[in-house]
Amino acid sequence: MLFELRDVHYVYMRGTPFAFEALTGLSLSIPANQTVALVGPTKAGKSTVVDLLAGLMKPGTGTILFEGTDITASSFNAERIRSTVGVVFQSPEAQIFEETVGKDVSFGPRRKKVPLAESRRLVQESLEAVGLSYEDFRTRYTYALSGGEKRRVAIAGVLALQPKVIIFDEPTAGLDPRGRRELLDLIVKLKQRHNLSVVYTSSSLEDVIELADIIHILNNGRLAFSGTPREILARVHELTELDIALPEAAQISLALREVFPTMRTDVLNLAELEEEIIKHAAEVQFIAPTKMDRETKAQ
Amino acid sequence: MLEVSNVTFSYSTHGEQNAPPALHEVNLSIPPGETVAIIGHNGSGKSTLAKLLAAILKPTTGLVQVDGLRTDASGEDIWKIRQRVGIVFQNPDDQLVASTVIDDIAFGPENLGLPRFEIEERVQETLALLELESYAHMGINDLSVGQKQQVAIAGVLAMRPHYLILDEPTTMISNHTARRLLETIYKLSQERGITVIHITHYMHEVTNFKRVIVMHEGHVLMDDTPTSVFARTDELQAVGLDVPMVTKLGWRLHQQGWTGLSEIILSIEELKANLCSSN
Repeated sequence: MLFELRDVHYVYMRGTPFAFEALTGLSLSIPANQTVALVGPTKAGKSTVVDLLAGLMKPGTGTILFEGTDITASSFNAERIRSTVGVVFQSPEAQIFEETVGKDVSFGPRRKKVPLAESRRLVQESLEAVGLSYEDFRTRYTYALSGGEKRRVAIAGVLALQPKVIIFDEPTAGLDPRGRRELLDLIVKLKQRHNLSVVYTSSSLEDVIELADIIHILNNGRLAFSGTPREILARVHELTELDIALPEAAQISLALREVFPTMRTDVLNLAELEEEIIKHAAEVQFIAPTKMDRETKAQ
Repeated sequence: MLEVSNVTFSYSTHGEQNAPPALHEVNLSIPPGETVAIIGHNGSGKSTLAKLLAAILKPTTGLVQVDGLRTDASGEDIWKIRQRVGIVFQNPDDQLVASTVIDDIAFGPENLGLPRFEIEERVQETLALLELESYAHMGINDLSVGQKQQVAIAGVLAMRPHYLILDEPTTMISNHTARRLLETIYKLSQERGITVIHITHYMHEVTNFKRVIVMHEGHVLMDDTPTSVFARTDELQAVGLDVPMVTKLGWRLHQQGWTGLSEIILSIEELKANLCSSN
């Protein structure tokens, strides 16, 4: 197991009138080499989990095991997490601070005192892995990049550290539909090519339903339930109660239950949805509406 | 009436000639009371158009007029335009100025030099309209992005604009909050007769609008009803946009012989109604 959280509590501003308990006994497992999604409404504790997994904070109480070792133990060397786990933070453009793309992506390797030739190779490979040409982008000013390019540069900066795990904290927020599609495709490609473990947080299921192997639904700082995308979609009522938006296909099938009461809601995409509708139309001897029906109705 | 006549706008300064203009010979007119959605991918010119309508930018060539007032005028006319046209930016942090919700909403009316009782009346009215009463005394920094966006809109509405421009107000907030925000905006247009110009890159947000303008590379590519725009799926996909899944589903069922379904379905409700009425 890559990470294992057991009864983790975390309180921000403990001991002040502003104290806020973000995690209230969270237990969950994150296996290696999979894409694991953490989904929940605002204040569910997603970003707190990200900071804990990245080794940036330690839990108040409870245990976090990283590859079997307790990270809360005083003997634990946080360097171990930091050299294995890379984080692409929410609005990743905020983690770009150097003047040029080349300098920004090479920041990590330089800090790790990687020899220059090796560092240059890492920068080139990382930029090309995110679809940016090294020759074109190396000398570009970071402030003049588009939103989508900034995200790619931030990811390249993380890749240059050769992590085994990458955490993406709501990475598609603020991107247009094309930028979102391209980023999701990139994550799939990177995971395969670099044999990564991916942790992905999101406030909706839309992004993760075709991406994740396992989805953990968080609410009020603890685990509500977990499952494969299909298992999660079968629990529409619980999701609605938690105010978690369903993916488009599931939304449509849920609404169509008024016409076809036994419609499945665990459809992952348009093709499955269409198949389900046609199947139900046949079962309940629903006559597919034809032009003549509509004209007779209109009279 | 908002009128855009033969407008070209370029961000490059006088020395640079090679940068393509952000808008190229755009003509539009938006009559009072209309609800218009402007859609396009990043870099299509939609935000530039919004800023030109709000007189934040002035056209490089051509003319933008608000109720007959030119946005390239100065002095008195610009003040009148600013009172008539309100704009809400993508990131609410760019326009919230005070430290509490109530102070922020009062900021506009105060600067219009209104008497105290009227400022209070407008603040209360706007709080009620956006259902923000319970947040009235909260600090801006304690709000979520979605709540901040509501406060930004409230601040603009308290100035009682005739035209409300929303520049991608939903990109930073969750789907659920976005849906509620759009419902509020729709309600405002219906109840108050405010002209709403909603800028977005999400097709599913435009279905309630009377008119949809599709921008591409600085040009107006389409200007029509949602139904007519959604019928041109291939062209939309070619410019990086996409129609909602329910529209694709309706189209696919229609192709398979369910000819009693409308060819173009805009929303889940419409699909449901179409299916129910035929059985």
